[in-house]
Amino acid sequence: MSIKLSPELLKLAKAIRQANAVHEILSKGELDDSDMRKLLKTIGIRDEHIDAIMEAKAKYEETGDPEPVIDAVAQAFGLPADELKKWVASIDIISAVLSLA
Amino acid sequence: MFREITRIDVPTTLLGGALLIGAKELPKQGFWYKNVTKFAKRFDDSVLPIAVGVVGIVIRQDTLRRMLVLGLMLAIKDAYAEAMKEPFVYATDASTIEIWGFDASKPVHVVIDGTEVAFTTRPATDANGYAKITLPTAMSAGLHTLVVWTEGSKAWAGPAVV
Repeated sequence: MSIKLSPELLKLAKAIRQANAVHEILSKGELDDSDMRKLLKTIGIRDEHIDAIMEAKAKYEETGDPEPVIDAVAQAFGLPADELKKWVASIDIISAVLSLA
Repeated sequence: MFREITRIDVPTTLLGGALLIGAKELPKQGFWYKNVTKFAKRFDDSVLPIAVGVVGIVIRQDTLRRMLVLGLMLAIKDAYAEAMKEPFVYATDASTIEIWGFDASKPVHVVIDGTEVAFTTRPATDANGYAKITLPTAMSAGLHTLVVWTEGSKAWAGPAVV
């Protein structure tokens, strides 16, 4: 007998599978480029966006400026780059505040 | 015939989600683990923390990359809440019923007292699994038995008093 899963349960199963796969990759510790590509693919980023992110990563390694990376990631997720920049900049501040809470 | 699965063994809390993933990215000694629920409330959905996490992964910044775990936990929590949403039916009046939590964008079937209602145009749920249905013939006063199902996997059966 087959069991029919609703689209909602399939979505849940996908979210759990993704999280487990990401955890497995992160458990390796230091990620090389191939791990990074695998991780980006796992969370559903399309190949052309992965290429753009990896290209931005190469620029970041040359210059130390994370802006191209943030732009490429924002593009991949369809987010406004300014909003992502704002969050990236504020995470450390929020973390510091939470540590005092 | 359908078989609806209404329960799956998934933790419902963010901390449960963290344990599910392994949470090794959340430092055991740190405030991130203790305050993850509080922190998660800052985000409407999982996309932003996942994106921040990806930036952290690429530029090898630990604090930022932990956001990826938070985002994945939020994605599981949201998917869980959606999957566990129970269908619900309410008869607004003798000729109107409203339904919630059914399959999204699917045709709706209504059976009243054992007879399927014939619609000229079959009603359908919206993207949120909701529909307001006008019955072609009003129900008589008193107790009725309703069965409502959508062409997917959700169904509801119960009484309606008019």
